[in-house]
Amino acid sequence: MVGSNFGIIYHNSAGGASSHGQSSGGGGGGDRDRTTPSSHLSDFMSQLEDYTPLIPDAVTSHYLNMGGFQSDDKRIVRLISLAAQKYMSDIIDDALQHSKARTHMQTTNTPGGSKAKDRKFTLTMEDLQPALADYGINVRKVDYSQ
Amino acid sequence: MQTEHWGSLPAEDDGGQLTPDKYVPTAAKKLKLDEIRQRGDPQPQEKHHKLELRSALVTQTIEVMKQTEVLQSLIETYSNKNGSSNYLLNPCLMIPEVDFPPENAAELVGSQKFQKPIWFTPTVDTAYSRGDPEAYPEIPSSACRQAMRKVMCGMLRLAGFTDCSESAVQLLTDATEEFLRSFIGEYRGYYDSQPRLQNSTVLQLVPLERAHFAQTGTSLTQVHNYYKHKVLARNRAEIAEFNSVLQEYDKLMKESQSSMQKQHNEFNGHDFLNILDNSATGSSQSIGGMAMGDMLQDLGGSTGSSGTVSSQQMLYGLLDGQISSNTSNMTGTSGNGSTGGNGNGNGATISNFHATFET
Repeated sequence: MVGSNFGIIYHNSAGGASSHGQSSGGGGGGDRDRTTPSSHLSDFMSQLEDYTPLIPDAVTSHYLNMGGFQSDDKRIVRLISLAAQKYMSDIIDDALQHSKARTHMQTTNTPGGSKAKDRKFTLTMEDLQPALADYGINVRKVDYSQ
Repeated sequence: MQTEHWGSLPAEDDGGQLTPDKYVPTAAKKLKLDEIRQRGDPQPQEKHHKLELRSALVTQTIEVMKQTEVLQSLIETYSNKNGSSNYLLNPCLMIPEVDFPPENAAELVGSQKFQKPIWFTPTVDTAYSRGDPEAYPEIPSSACRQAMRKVMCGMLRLAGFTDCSESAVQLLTDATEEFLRSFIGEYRGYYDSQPRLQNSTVLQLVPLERAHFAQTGTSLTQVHNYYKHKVLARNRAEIAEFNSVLQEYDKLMKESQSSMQKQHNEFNGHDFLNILDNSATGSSQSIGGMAMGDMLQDLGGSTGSSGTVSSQQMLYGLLDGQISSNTSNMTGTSGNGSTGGNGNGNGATISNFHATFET
């Protein structure tokens, strides 16, 4: 899986980069532990304090409680918040690309399009719909309004 | 035979005397009631929780973006940009000074923090890294949706959108909620499939990674890359752009100030007199030999409207330093139309006009 260990490959044999990583990592566990994906994640999880998500932890905690979990581990709560933020950010970035493409087409078709207006982008359903569709969310109007 | 009726009272009253342990005397009740009254009416327990959306990095990025826009619009207003250099559109127009505190563009996250891979950074032993339990306030679903809506607006602004339609924000909020529900549902599904974890409510990491992979097809560690490249790098890029635009604006403002200074030095009273003299001789040959006081009097008399008086007053201000002997005469003309001089009072007015011009 690309990016699962941030491009760093730990070797099973002791020494080299892995032993350096272990010594500077400051955490416990040997090389055997380092090779497991969960150790990468747990390293990441313990450093999440500086990653401030936009989605408040209390909101994520609400959904965790609704799912039958006791949300008292703030590290996991924060990880879920960040994952949701990343997911939505990817969708919004796609929508921005759609919006840019559409605006560019309109500007090229219209003679004398101003440069100042190029910086302004408005999110409309027209742009959001295909972006959401790429992520498996299909948006359709109800039959009577079509 | 004595019949016993159902519900009949007993014939002999053996409980005639009430003992103190069987009842509460009225005097004692009164004391208790007074005590309750003194304490006041019982208030319902307040359960207000303030839900704060605080991501200093994102807030700073958006603020810096706004300030950059303000500066860019000011530059566009006051300059005639030609290639890489700015030229003042109107040299007589003073460019306003902007005061953005330097803290706005401060580095909120240490530059060392995200430079190297996570495990090369030693973990600091804090309550967070230990995973000490923390109780979150219980909030209703409606509050969650409101918060999510605000979050979406922030994310849209961060991505580069300046406006959005109402339905698009609503749809994004719905999508986020649906993602969280399905993600947590997947997470719960893994617990349910394991007999050992079926009744567990404690959060574990490996099932979360599996649920995330099932949901998005990527690892949870991608969150680090997202934060580093999209949030942090964006913040740095916006700050860098702001600084460059601010430098450009400073340059333009210095140019404006120097040109204003130059104009002020060149446009002194002596030259002004020459201009006036030339224009007078040019416009009408018949008044070529008119005295300065008479000419200004003529100007005052002919321009009675309030709009022209202000420009005339500015001219008087310019003349203030050079022709002090004529001040009483000139102000007399502009004030009441007569040439008579109450010199002292009007002299003060002139200095006032001069100050107005300089600002």
